Amino acid sequence: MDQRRTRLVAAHSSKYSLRSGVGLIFILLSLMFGLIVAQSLLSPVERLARDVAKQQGAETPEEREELRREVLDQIVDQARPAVAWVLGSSSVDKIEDETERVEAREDYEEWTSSLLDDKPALLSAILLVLLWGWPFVVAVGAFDLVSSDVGSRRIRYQLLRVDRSSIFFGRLFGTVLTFIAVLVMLLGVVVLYMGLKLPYYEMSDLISWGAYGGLCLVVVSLPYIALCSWISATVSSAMASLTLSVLVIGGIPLFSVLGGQTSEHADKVLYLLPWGTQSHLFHHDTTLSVGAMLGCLGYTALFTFLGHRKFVTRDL
Amino acid sequence: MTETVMNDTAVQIDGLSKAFGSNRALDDVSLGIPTGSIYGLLGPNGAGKTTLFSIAAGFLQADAGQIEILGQPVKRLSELSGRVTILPQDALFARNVPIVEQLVFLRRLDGADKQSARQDVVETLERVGLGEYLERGVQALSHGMLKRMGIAQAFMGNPDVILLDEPTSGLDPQNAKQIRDLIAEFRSTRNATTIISSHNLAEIQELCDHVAILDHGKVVAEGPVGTITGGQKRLDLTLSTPFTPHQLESLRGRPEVRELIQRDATRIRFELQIPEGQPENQVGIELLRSILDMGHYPREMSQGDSLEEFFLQITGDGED
Repeated sequence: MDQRRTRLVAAHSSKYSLRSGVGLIFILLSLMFGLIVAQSLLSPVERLARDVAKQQGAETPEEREELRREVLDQIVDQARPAVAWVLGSSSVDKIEDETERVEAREDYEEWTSSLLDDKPALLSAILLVLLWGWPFVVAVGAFDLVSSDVGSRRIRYQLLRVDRSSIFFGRLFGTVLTFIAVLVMLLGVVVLYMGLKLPYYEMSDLISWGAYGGLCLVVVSLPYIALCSWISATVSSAMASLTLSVLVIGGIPLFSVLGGQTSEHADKVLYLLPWGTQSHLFHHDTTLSVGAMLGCLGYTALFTFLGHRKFVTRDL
Repeated sequence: MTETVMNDTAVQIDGLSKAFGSNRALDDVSLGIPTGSIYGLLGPNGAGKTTLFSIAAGFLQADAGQIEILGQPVKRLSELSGRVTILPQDALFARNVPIVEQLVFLRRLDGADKQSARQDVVETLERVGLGEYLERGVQALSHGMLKRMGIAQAFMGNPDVILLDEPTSGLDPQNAKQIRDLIAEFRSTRNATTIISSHNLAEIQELCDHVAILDHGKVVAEGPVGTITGGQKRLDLTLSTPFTPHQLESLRGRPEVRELIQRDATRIRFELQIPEGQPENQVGIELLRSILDMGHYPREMSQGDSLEEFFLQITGDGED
């Protein structure tokens, strides 16, 4: 692999992928998805806080602020079970041993509390929803790593000038760069909005938690981008690549949920992709969160290896 | 076209085979393409020309055999940094990237820095008549212009080996001629080994000094165009009036006439033997002079077999 050429391919790929129709759709979709998630969580809190403040006749800004904070605390308390469920607390009920079950439940409560009490709760909620929805955004942004260029034979203009590994890794890096840029933009807007409009949280807390959340979203994007690169290197049609990417990324959790009705082992299917471990990226126990990151990098290495091997050995 | 004296081979192909399912696209093909030659790869549709090009360019992997270009195996061709280029058949350019940016990117992959890449691309695009389309997208180009753009990307820089896969396919006669002229013009200033695949026999005969004919995945003939077609060793005449038996006998008796074939009353073929040390042209001229002295004025005359005739002979009248 040639580093200079890999950089050239990465820069060209990330610059011009955004100018294509698919690139623009990806940008719009990812920003819309992120902002809609943020809006759907922030807006009701703001509205409720305003209504309560009005009903209770709060006159000074300090009184209104105090009421808003109380409202937010109540909402967070009510949302606690839902957040615990998202983190996977429902699996606790399957534990037969009473002591272990109690311990597991306590662990989930602690985990939930760390996200809702120790960190800015609303931002945690936004990050959690993004974490579960982001793989689908990845499918839309990374499905066409090479497939349409292979299908149209456009890639043939490059094959005598640069080795296949440089093309593959250049495009992979270019796609990762694009995702990083989009996530920085998205979380920057969300954090800035929350900091300006919702003074419940310290700006520094929002920035540090937003930065960590962004890092987690980048890390969780990597295996799905690598998976899409493998699919894209295997099929020569962009549409087939998109369909397969969405089916695989969405099909696995769907199969796990549906299969869980009949088989208690169906949830193991989740571990074919990072679905089974990715929520641990937000775990308060550093060992588990670092483990989840390493897990994501492991999946990335595996899918990248498979995609690269396919791309360098197949007929183009 | 004059034949160039070659000392070595730019492209060496040994025992190349490739099958798609039960169809053997290439069957133990071996060729040596001389450095500096313009080499035509002829064959009917499905003969294996594009497959051979695709393996030579590393698009496809061979089942057996190997190709070396400029002494480098195909897998490592990218290390030659743009010394080998190709005009692939039916490959599209990106629609969302300005023309100049696409070619600058390719030149930079060849190893050129940004400034010299742009300068080279602009010069080459102007040379192929696309200077005013630099910042436009490829959707502004007609089919013929797209071919010219493809030619430009193959010739830009200073490649040593250029592969042109069906460079005029799908073009009308004017555009096809433009492309042939461009190839000839580029060739006049850059002495690159140029390999052209085509089923257009006149085109190959016009452009190439060497030719290989592929049929059903096998090389059925190979060598300099002059040797393949018989060159100066055959003379076909169509006369206004037939020769008398006496005149025919006299012509048969000439030392340079190896065989005289009367195809019909007025169409005569002379198979000539060139005496050692005597210029080939001189032999034909002397024979013609004696025919004129007999009071016959040829209405039509051609030297050697046309490539087409030879091609049809050995590929079974072009039946695939």
